[in-house]
Amino acid sequence: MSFIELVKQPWPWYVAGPIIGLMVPTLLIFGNKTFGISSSLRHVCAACMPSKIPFFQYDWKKEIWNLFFVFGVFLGGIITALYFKNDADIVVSKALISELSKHGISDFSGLVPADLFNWASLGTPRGLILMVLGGFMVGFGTRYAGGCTSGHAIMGLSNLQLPSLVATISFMVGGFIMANLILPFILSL
Amino acid sequence: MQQHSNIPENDFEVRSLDAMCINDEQVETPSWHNLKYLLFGLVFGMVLIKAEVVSWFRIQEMFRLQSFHMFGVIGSAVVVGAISVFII
Repeated sequence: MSFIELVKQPWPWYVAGPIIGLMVPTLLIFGNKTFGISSSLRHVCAACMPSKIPFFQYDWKKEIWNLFFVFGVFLGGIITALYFKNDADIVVSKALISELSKHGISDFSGLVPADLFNWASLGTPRGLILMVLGGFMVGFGTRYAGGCTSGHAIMGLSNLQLPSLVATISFMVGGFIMANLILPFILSL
Repeated sequence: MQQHSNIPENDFEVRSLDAMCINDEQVETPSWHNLKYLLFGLVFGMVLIKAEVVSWFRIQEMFRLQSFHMFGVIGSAVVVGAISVFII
């Protein structure tokens, strides 16, 4: 198998996990920065809104490294999608495939289900809830928790921070409740 | 400290602004140094896509306990991160 074929395959967890974990010391050593993604949203707000909101009254230019980092994530996604994309369908458990097919989700080619996330379904209750309300809740939740999964689960837990442990447990509990109890109802709308 | 007194002590996102440590941005770094963060982000973004961590399907699988993949990614990331923080 050639190198490029190896790269095109989905990477196993024991390759991806350590690379993500190494982001923590890399950022600390190269610039004394704490790994996190969602704070970029705050910096963008601080940069775009010259108002007197105390929460945005800080020198966002000193945190500009974070915007470079997040823009890099964006570029990395584009490069991967253009050149190293896995052409086959995603391999998920049979139980999930049969469960989702009950809700009319049969396209397993993309990273998100094309049957759910498209322009036409934006007009339906289920599409509106998933895309608009979902997006709002992601934004509100990261702000309310003071960080997302990168900042809390990866950086915070690596530093043995108790608030991050609480946040990570809450993310997980919320996810379990949503995926198992609430999402089946939303999908049936 | 003075001009940032309205930022609470536990606000880690802008902590580096009023931190008392010498590694603060007091040491002026040229702006092209930010490009290294672009590079790190690039690597991080590629890993997120290639390991399908950002996949809606993988996240569903995780929360339905139908696969070990996501727990493996998060678990090994935290273990590697914690060990490296412990070393440095």
